[in-house]
Parts: sequence; C-alpha cells; structure tokens
Amino acid sequence: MNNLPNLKEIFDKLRAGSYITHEQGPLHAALADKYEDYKAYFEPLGLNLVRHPRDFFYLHTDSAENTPPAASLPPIAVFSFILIEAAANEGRPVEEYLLTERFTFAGLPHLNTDRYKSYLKGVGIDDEASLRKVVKSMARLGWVELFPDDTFRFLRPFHRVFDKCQEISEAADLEARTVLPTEAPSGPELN
Amino acid sequence: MHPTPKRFFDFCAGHVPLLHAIATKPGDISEAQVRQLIRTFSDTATEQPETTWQRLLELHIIVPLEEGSSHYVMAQPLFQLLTFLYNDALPTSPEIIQGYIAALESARKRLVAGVEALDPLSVVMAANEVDHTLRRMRDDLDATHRAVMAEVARYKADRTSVTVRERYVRIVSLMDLYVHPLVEIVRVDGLLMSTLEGTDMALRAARDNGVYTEVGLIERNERQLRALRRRAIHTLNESRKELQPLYDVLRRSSAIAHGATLALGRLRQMRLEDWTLNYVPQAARASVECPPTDAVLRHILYEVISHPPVPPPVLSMQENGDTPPDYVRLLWLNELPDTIREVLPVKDLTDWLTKTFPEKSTSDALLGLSKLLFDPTMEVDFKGGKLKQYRTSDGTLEASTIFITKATPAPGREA
Repeated sequence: MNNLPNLKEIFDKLRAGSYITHEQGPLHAALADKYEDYKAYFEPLGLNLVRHPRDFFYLHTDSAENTPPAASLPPIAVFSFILIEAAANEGRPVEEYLLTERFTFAGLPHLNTDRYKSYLKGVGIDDEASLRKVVKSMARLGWVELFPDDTFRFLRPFHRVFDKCQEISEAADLEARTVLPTEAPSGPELN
Repeated sequence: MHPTPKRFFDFCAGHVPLLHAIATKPGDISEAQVRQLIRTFSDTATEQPETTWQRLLELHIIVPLEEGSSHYVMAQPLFQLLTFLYNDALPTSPEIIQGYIAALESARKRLVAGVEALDPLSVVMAANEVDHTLRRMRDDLDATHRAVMAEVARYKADRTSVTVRERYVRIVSLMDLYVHPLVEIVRVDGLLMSTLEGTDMALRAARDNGVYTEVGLIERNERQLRALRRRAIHTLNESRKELQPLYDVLRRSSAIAHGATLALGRLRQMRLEDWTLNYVPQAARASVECPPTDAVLRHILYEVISHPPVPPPVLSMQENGDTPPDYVRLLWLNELPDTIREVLPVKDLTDWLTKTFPEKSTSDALLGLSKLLFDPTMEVDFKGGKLKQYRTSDGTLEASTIFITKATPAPGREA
C-alpha cells in the first residue's frame, strides 16, 4: 500500500484543500488508476477521498461539512448563479458553455441588469473591481484559471456549483410534489 | 359537389406555398387571414385572389369551423397529406394508441364471437376493422418517430434562439408525454403486445375453422400484426435513442438553471446568513490542518493498547504429514548437493538421480538436475552421444550422459 505512486505529492495537495484534476497530469492519472487503493490508504486517517463523477478528486471531512461556509463563498455563489441563469436564458447549454468558454470581465452579464446588480449588492459587489476579486477567490478555490490576458475559464471543480443548483432544484420539485402529489415520469426500458 | 381528383390536384400543384402556409397556421384561420395569405403566396397575374379564395372553398381545401362561420380549418385529409409531404409529423399521444388498442380488443371480441357463431359477416367486418386500425397505428407510430427526429434536428441546428427552459420543455414533453408512455404500451409485456397476441389468435381461429373464406385478408392482418410488433418496438427504441442524450443533458441543464434562479430569488427573501447556509455550495476546500486528526490518533492508540497479545507462529522444521509439498521439495533440493557429494564422481548424473530417488516425479527430477548442474561446487561434463531413457515415478526422461564431479579449486583458493 505504501508503494502507491506520487503518494506524498497527492497527499500534500489534497491536505491543502486543493482539487486534483486532469490539469495535474501524473497525480490525476495515479489517482484515477488506483482510486480504491488511495481511498483505502486515507480512510484510517479519517480522510474521505472523493472521486467526483466528472473525474476530479478531493478530500471530504465531516468537520468541513459542518463548518459554515467561508465569507468569500456567498459572493462566489451569487456570481456563479447569475452567470448560470444568464447562460440558460441565452439558450446555451449551461455546463458545456461555462466549462469550455474563456470569459472576459467586460463580457460578463452581472452588471448589465438592475436585477443582477441588486443581487450582487446584497453580497457586497457593486463594480467590476469587486467582480475581479470574486473571480480571484474562485481561482484560489481551484474553480477558475486566470490568464495573463485578463481572461479566465472555469475548471472542472466548478461542477460542485452545478451540483448545488441541481440539489436546490430537486429539493424545490420535491417540495412542490409534496404539496401537489403527481406521478414522477419514469424512463422505462424496453424488453 | 365533391371535387374531382384531377381538379383538386391541379389546383394543389399550382398553390403549394399557399397550402403549406395555411397548414402551418396553428388553430383555425379567419377569412381575412386566408385572403392575406393568398395575396402573399399566389401569383395574382395568373389568377385573381377572389378566384383562388373561391377554389379553396369549392375544392374543400378549407372548411368552415362550423356552419356559417368565418373561421376555417384545412381539411384533415389534405392536412395529413401535407404533413406527410413536408415530413412535419405530429407525435401520437399514448391516449390515441390506447384508443387503437381498445378498438383492436373490441374487434377481437367480435371476431371470437363471429367464429363461435360461425357468422362470416361478423368475422369479415371485424377483420376489416383490425386491418384499418393496424394501418392507422403504424402510420401514427411512424409519425411519432418523424416528429422526434425533426425535433432533434431542430435542436441540433438551432442552438441559441430559444432558452434552455423552452428547449427542455420541448424535448421533455416529447420524451415524457409521447415516447415513455408509448414505450410502456408497446413493450414486450405491455398492453399492445397482449392485444396483438389475442387478435392474432382470433384471426387464426377464424381461418382454421373456415368461418371466413377470404383467407387473404386474414393472412394480411396476420402479416401486419407481426410487422407492427417489430416496428412498434423498433420505432420507439430509435426515437428514444435519439432523444435520450438530449433529454439527459437538457434535464440537467434545466435543473441547474432552475436551481440558480431559485437561489437568486430566495436571496431577496431571506437573511444573508440563512441564505448562505441553504444555498451556498458547500464546495469549500476541506483542508486538513494536522492529519491525522486527534480523534483518529486516539482511536488508533486505543486499538493498539486494547489489542490482545498473540505469540508469533512457530515454524516446524520437520517433515510430517502436514508439511506442504513445496516445502518438502525445497528441503530435498537443498540437501541434494550434500547427498551427491558423498558419492562423487558420478559417471551418469541422471541415472544416479532417478535411481537414488525413484519416488520423485519428472518435474522434481528436472529441478534436482538443474540444482546440481548449476551448483558452483561441482563440475559437469555433457558427454553427448546416444540419448538414454531414465524412468521417473510418473514418466521418462531422455538425455545424453552427464558426468559430474567436484569442482577444481581456483588457483590460490581452497575447494
């Protein structure tokens, strides 16, 4: 078990709270190849190694789950939700668009409408400079990569925001169904 | 007076764009709207708009919604012909298919009753109804498939003009309202198949009992039944295959967009602290300050302290009935050089080995030979010549003579 490749580098990165994605070539390859072995290795240390369905890795601890989100997260959440809503309203496939495009600050929809501005104001963002700060903190979280030409792109760990949105939507649907019970559509298989 | 086919088709051939425009208008259409379409799509140099309008009415291309109404709809047969020609089919609802199934079931009952009563007239009427229903069913299933294909093509060709929500609703309604319920109906153990089975049996009974003499219709119905079974499953499977990837992507996309909008909406209604707890993704990094944690260390120490001492296992060095055969073989191989050293030189090593240890198998004998051949304290000489055969406990070894003796000590070294 101690012979797991890149164990030290992987552990150092994960314990610092980083995500391991395809960008970390050999580390990601090692984890992808022997995920169960790494998971079993970390488990006795009280560390839960998670492989996200979109193929990136991170450590999950109960203590982190029970800690209130950091102060930087509400602005990040509002920033992300606005971007998702705007992409959807333009008819773009949300995940594909956000995870493949490069974004410029000037092209962001956040300061274009009063509604978005009011959301942002609620979390202390009122100009482009504050938007830049939000994107920088997202880069620190490993959700965004900043480029020297003042553009940025979203990285795979941003899927955790998508997951949260889906969770919110499902909870709302469930709530609605509880009030007005209807039959859920199913996907039957042909024999 | 009913229009003659030639007049009807001649007019249609000269007014295709107009007819298509009328057909694609949703719901009914007012006289003013029809006249406007005539001006837009007809060639007023060759035909006066009033003439065109009159022809539309005379040929029953448009019919009033009700007696005396100034609102019109396109005649259903022509509408169907145009949807067929433009490949612009409408999906068939499960309710319609269920209606067909009910019609088939009713026809089957009348077939059975007709066969029992030996009444050919009832049988022929029921068989005709089966034929008619099967044709319509087949056409409608095909239309569903075409509608699905057209929607998928529209989706792929036009990626930005409508919102994700709208696209989702279109795809999901096709999937949830048409394809999924139809799949339920046409699946092998579903309602349609059992009805087709029953109808098939009734038709066979009609034929076998000789109640109905025109066997052609019965046989045609049977062929249609068989084809419809295959076609229904195939068509819907294909539709589902086309839709499923879009359905999955859009369902998730829509849920993501819905969740984001919902979270933003709640931001105005809740205190920021409460909103943060409920709607902010718990995607904070789970950094580990001092792994392993105190709790884990305490647990491990407790397990070590409370672990009962167990003496180490004792290895038996003696051969007995329980000794593993591999271990016995290893002991024998290790002792072999000492055993042969007492009788060296040996003129024929293979002969010595097989005669001294006749109980050894061929593979053991070969292991023994290898052990001695590569022993650095001994020297071997392959004599060549004729091959000899040596018996082992389970076979025969064939080799030329191998001479073995003690190795000559190197100069300045003791042997």
